[in-house]
Amino acid sequence: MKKKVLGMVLAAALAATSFGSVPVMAEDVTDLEFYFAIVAGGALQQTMDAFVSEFNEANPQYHVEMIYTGTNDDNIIKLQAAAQAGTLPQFYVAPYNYKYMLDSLGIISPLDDLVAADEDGEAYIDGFLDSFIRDSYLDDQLISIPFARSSCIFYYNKDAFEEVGLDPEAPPTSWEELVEDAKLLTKTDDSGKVERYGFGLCENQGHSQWPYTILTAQNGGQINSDDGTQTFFDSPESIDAVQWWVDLHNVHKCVPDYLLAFEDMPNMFIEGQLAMMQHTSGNLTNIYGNSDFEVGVALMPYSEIQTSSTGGQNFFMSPDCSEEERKGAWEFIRYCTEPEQQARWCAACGYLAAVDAAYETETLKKYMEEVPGLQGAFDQLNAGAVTEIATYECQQIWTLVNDYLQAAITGEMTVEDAMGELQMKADSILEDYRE
Amino acid sequence: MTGKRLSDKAKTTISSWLLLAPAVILMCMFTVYPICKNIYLSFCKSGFRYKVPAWVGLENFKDLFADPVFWKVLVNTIVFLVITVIPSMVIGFILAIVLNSKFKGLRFLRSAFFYPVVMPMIAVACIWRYLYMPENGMFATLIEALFHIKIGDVLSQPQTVLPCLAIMYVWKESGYLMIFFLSGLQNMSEDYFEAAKIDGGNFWTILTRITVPLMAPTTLFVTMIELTNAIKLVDHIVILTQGKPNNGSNLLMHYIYQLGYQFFDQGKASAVTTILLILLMVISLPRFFNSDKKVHYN
Repeated sequence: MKKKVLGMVLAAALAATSFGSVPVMAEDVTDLEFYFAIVAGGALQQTMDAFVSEFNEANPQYHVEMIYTGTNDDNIIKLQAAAQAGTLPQFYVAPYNYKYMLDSLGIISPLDDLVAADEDGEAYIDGFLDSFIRDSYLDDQLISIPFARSSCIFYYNKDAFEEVGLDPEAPPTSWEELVEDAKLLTKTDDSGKVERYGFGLCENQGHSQWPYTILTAQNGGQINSDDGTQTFFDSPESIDAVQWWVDLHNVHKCVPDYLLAFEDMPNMFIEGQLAMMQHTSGNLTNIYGNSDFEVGVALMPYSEIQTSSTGGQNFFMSPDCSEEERKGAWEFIRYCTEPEQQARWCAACGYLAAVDAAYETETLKKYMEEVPGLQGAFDQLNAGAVTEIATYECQQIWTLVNDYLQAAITGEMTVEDAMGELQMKADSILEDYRE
Repeated sequence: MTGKRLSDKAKTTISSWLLLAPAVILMCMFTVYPICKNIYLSFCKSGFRYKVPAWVGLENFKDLFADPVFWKVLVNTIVFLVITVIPSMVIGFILAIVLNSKFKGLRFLRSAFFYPVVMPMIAVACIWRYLYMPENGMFATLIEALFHIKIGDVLSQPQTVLPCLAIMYVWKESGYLMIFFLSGLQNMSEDYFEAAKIDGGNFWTILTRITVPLMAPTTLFVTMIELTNAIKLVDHIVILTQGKPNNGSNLLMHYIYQLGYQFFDQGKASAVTTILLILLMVISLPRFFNSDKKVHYN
């Protein structure tokens, strides 16, 4: 008898809790999922988690869930699988220059209606830095929102400059000066072993397309057409830029005499083995925090045009979402790109804040005291930063660019032959997309 | 005979099939079906851009055969097989002969030589990445100290990258092969050796006339294992080179990964997989047809 009573009480209690709270939640809350890939270090995941929980708390009508998918490549594979299964998340984060590829997969949707519906939508879009928002358009439609963005910047070791009698406040501004300084800064010990190289740019698989983009753009060359279906790898500006790069190895001998890896460069710089380098702004915190010499960040030395190149990821929205879901996703994206959030994001992981106003916040002003190089990175963005190679089938094109640059640098092919063959191969891949 | 009673033979057939059913179903699901699907896809344009695979006949294969990268990768794979399989078998065999005799510290040596086998390839590749590092890596420092030659980055030069990957692989695999040879040696009857010694055979004669021929089944087995192992491996490329410089170290498996998951060209990736499948079948053919004729079993 006692057991029966206890059972009834339990059942009643269970019924009360389940009727009391759960159904109400299910009626009013719009569930949102988004895919997120991590490609940099720092307190990235914690910061993103914080954004999600803060947003969910402030907006009980929405429930955002972040699904961490691994690297950028993993992220695309999972998006592909989800698209085929009809379970795409409402929105996701992906490299900004994958836009043509994402378009060819049919998994993006224009955001113009959301901007129009937002009362200060225009002002919000105008608030982004030009170098970043520029890449968010496809066929004159807004298709993505800048979020975790970076830029390649020029780092140099001020103590090393002083040591060889160069003015640490007058870093090189042109390619000629860069070569002169780099030769001076290259230091060899008595046995002929190089202790310090003057300069370095990344040359390993998956990364060398970045310096290639920068050098060609500085030379006044165009890398790809605006519709992403045409490349100009065999242009005189491109060939000249690669020749200059190869000469750094063979003629001037002021860069490491092997294919320098992107991942190894920050440590080499910190250890004093590289006096100057082009590297991502994502390493500002790491480099300022760990170097025992004075670090400088300056505008890129250039030949014709002062420019660098941007990197990083944007928010994209999936097609076929309900009005409610689109609105919720938009609200969340707006929350993550408000000046204060962008400032926190920047201070936590070294990505550059994508909105102008973030640089006026207390958070970033304080951060800039610790890492003065951020100002240099911000200046570089305003001075010029082109889009990294962005075409259809971009991963295949990037791999080809890497392959042929390596062939030119290791002397397997002449620069003209390598760039010519590269252009031919790129044409055969991209011709499917031309009208 | 009524329908209810079955002959003994039929009963055996049914019960064998029932007992095998789980294995057969699993094999069909995870081996036979994917192979068939892969062969079908290799005749299709398929991947990210195509919602439904579109039949194109032999176009994927034509594209591949016209692509110098494919030939470079195929030649790399064959070179890599030759320079890994033969040395690791020879070294494994020598290790087995030496470690088959009895002396102090034998156990320690056996486990020491077997140790690289238990490490995952990813970990091994990470360690060797440091050993091969230019300037401060162990090999660079050693060679510079001994011969006063600067070798630079061996992993970014077309001439040295494959041999360097091979050395690492041989270091890892010889211990594994040693175990097979060792068990082969220990299964051999002592009688042959005693008889040979009584007849005055020296070490060399015994080795070439008795040990090696008697080891033929083991050797054949090890060759198969080693060839398929070396062809299937991809981790070391991902960690160490990603195929650099200019596909100088790109091997078939990594090429398939690149085509399928970086370029999202499922059709071409399937075509290369089909070619790999044929290659593996050719490699394992001797095991089916030739094994009983040419090799001696005790």
